Amino acid sequence: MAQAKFDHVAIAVWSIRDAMRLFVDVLGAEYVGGDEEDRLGIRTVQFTLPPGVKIELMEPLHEESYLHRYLEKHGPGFHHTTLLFDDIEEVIPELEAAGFDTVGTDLTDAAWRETFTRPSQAFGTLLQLADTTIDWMEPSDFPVEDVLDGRVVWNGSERVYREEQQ
Amino acid sequence: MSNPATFDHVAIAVRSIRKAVRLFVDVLGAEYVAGGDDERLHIRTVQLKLPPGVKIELMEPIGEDSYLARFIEKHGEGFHHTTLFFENIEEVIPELEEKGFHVVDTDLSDPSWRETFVRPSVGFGTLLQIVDTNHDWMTKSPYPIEDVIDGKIIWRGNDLIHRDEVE
Repeated sequence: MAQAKFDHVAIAVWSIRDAMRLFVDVLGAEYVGGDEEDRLGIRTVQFTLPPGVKIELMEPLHEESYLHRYLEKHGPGFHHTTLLFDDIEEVIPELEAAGFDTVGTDLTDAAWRETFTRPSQAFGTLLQLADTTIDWMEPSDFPVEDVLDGRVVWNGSERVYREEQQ
Repeated sequence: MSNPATFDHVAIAVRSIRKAVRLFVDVLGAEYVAGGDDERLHIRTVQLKLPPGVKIELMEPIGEDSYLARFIEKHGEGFHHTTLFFENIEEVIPELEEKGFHVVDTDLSDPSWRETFVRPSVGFGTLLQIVDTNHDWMTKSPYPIEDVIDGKIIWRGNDLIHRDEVE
């Protein structure tokens, strides 16, 4: 049997900056890292809380983002939970055998291989199931202000400054 | 700022804990910790543990009069709330209020579980249960999960008892 490790719960918000006033300033979550994914049109920032899990805040970058449509439909709130495994390739057939279809499987990048369960089959929750070779608890060198200002992007394998990418 | 929150659990509202256990326990490897019926709230809950020491709580309504039955009717199954523990929530409440995050349903009467809530309307769509407790909620229940799912175990305060022991 597979053994999930709880990595983070992700919350879809209109403004990460506003949400940080609650999760960071009052509740004490600590900034770990963040970036933008132009492919998805989203910005995400991760914050840790004891005993070593994260809250991820996600915001859309523009109206064409799937997350913008999500927020328009559902409003802000819990979006997904991410569980990490030693080997996602062992988990997928176990899920399928137990009757839980996986979708969006992408095993092409060894640094982050993922699949998802459909909320309709996973009791209303979107579960992101992944394995990774990166230590995502390692604090990022990029300051959170730069992330919020849209200067930090995920280029497919690492975070870089937007101006350096072009 | 007060001491940081400790992430205790994320709770998922489901119609059937029995079915959800097939995913979260049988496939994903979450480990049963405890569970029982809360007859005041008309809900059954089961707490499951995952590394690095957080829990997923499955909640199911008992009967149609349960507030949770109405919740599922309206929103469907899915994420319901997140519970954060603090050393002293009496320090957290004024900080929340001061920053404009109004709290509701504050109950400080039981030192083993003092709680307040940040409503989704001010908590960026999330219902946050803010708690301090002197009880160890990672202690494994002596009752098997099957008995919990069958409705044989009930919460009495912070203790679990078997229905047969009450009647």
